[in-house]
Amino acid sequence: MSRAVRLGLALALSLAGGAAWAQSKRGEDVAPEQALVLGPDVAQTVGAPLGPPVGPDRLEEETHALASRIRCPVCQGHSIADSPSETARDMKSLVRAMVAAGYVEDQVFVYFEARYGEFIRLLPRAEGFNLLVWVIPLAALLLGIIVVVVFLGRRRPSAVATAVPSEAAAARSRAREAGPAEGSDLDPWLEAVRREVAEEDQRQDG
Amino acid sequence: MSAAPEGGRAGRGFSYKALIIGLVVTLPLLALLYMGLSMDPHRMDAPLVGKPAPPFELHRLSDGQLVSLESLRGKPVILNFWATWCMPCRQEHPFMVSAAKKLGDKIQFVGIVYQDKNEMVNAWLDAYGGRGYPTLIDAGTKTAIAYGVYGVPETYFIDSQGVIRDKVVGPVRPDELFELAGRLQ
Repeated sequence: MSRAVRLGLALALSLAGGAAWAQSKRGEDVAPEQALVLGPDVAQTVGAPLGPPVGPDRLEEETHALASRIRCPVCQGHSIADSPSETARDMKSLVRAMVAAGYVEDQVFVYFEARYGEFIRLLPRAEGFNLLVWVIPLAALLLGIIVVVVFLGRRRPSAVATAVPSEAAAARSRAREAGPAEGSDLDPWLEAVRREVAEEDQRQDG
Repeated sequence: MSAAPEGGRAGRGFSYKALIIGLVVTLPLLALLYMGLSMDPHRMDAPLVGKPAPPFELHRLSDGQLVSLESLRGKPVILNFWATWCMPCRQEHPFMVSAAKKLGDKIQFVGIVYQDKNEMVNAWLDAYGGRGYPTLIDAGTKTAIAYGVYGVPETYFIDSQGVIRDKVVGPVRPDELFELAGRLQ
């Protein structure tokens, strides 16, 4: 055995021993985490397993998927998969035992809800009063979209209104550059202006 | 001059339509806020109250003998979950022992130790009130989980038919214990 392997082994053993010693100092039973022991009342609460037993190849993956949706009752917003507390560890161990025995997701949640209430679900069920959790954000989003659409709809006419004079100004400018157009719609107006200017000149001369 | 009010518009800065839309949006939110504020954040769900107490079979600290809930049937049970590392348990335990002395002929008191070690439990019992009733060891916390224990101390009041009648989270007050024990008889 190479020196590096011996060192690694010694480090792993000392870490495992240190963790067990730390638990022992805290006054906790040092129980093997992998022990697949069902609670005393699991079968009484949820009946027989509805699925096939789960083997070691998929056990950790399925346990983690369920444990990450079960709230740790002694933590602040953590799942039992994320919490380092002993309670979470023991609850996760029970989830593992239930999954291994073939209890399906619904049965696991029913068991924990029967003990802790719906509080134990990190994601509340989307039914009844809980629907508000899903409906309110969607309704707020829809309302926001409606407000934005209505607001933009009201702004558009004023934008058109500001665009129209500028177009008119450009047309006037083009007309000035081109000089008076004969036979256009402006003829009566130009005639009236010329008449007023002539009358004014006569008054000044007189 | 401005035109006369039109289409529910009472003036340039006030609109009934805006008021109604505002109320429709804000009133439900205020109602939800009120509901949230009127709830006690310390109150925990206790779905087992009114239901049969989960069975257990645990080793007794004193002699290692197995004790089951079934074996206690026929007499009301006060089940107290506690631990040596729990500070409120130090204040609660001497009172629980004296209450067990007073009520012991009518009610069976049982202590279940939560996440602990036998030798520490023995030392703790010697230091804080003694052994007035059986102390059981819940290895692996399965019984505590079965009862939906959030933390210690927690006390369950189980009637003679094995139905949980009440649950107290945190240390039980003396008046509370006698009142809830009275309901069991």
